[in-house]
Amino acid sequence: MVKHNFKQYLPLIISVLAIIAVARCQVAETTWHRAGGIMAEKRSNYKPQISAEELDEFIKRWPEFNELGLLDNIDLSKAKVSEILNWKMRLWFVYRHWDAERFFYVHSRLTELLKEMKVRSEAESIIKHLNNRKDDLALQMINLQKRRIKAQKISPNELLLLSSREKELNRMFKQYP
Amino acid sequence: MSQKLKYISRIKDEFDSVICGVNGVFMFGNMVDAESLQTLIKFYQSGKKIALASNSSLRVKELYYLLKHNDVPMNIFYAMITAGEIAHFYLKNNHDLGRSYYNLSGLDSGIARGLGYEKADSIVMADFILAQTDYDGLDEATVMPVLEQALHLNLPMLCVGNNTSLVGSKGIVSGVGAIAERYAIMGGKKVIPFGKPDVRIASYLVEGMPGFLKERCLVIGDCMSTDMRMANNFGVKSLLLTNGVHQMGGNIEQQLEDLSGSYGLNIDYYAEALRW
Repeated sequence: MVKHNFKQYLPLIISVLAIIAVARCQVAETTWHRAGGIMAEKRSNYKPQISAEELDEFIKRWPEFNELGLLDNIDLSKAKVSEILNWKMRLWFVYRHWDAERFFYVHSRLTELLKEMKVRSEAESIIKHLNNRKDDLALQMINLQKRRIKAQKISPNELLLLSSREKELNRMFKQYP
Repeated sequence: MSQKLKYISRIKDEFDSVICGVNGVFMFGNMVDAESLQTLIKFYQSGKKIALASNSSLRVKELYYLLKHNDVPMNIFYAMITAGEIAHFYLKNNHDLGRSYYNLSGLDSGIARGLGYEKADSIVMADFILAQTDYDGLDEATVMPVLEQALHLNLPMLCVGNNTSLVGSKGIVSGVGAIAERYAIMGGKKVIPFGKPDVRIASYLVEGMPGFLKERCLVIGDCMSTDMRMANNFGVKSLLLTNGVHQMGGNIEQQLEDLSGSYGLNIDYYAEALRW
């Protein structure tokens, strides 16, 4: 019977572990570099308006990001993105090809735009029912509501884009504010 | 589907308590509407509890004396709260905003009085903005440049009373809620609102009310975004007065359906005015 001596396999085990570690580093580095390339390309295309692709990708990722609980006890309105990013968050963003700054920009713009759409819809329905009236009070109210609409900074393209996803977005932000 | 009411006495047996607004319900600007007040008195005489929820910037004591001065019998009210009182309480207990405020409206209802805060003459000297309900309306041309500066300085805004429009002394005027809304749209990151539709107001008013039941409570008001939203969020029935700030006329049923849809609210009853 052959007696196995653990010590004789030790160099082999160490070598195998070293090879695995190096390979993992290389995979991570390649992923990191690839993500960097994709993000740099994306960055060059950033506009103040949100694109349809960005919106779809955000809707897919926002619940996932929230479920990780990375934002627990963090007030986004108080903190700068660069201040809240820890290594877990950095990794999460890199592996999903998102620029963290842009991710939170999309979040804040969407919440603002949804609020604006709500204001617009309320104001429009008030105007609609007063439109045939010519008395002072009705005219005052119409003017007030028109001023509320005029104050909005929502572009027609974004309005169109968000209108098609409004219910879905409201549902999502209700669950993950 | 909302039910039309001509006289509120028709539903008096369905309710034991009423949470009711002030402006646009029985007070219009600085004038008390005698018939609406009589309706409230009759409500009280039929054994109902009436609580007042006002989005006024006045503190409770000041509103009490204002109503009393206008011959409103104050014994008919079980409890009352104002947006001004809540803001005062907030300022008393939260000092993280700083000690200096800029008063956005001409009126100073004394919210910060006696609390050690300083009123700044210029926005650049202020730590936060105090925007208070003004029944004369806020002059947007004066307010806008101040808001732009405030935005630049990243100042928080305390919005006392959330109405975007209200029945004021000069007809329908812009409310402080519209200014806060504008500030938020401009990018103002911190707007702290006080007043309806915060459901804590309703909870506070009915606290300790003997035999209180939500299903036997009615909210009366003239504003969809504050009164009716509070009623919906609190889970009680609502009565919208259509001759208030919304100035409904003609096919009211259709208008109400449109408005309820766009505000996402359910209105149980509507009446032109508060009549017994």
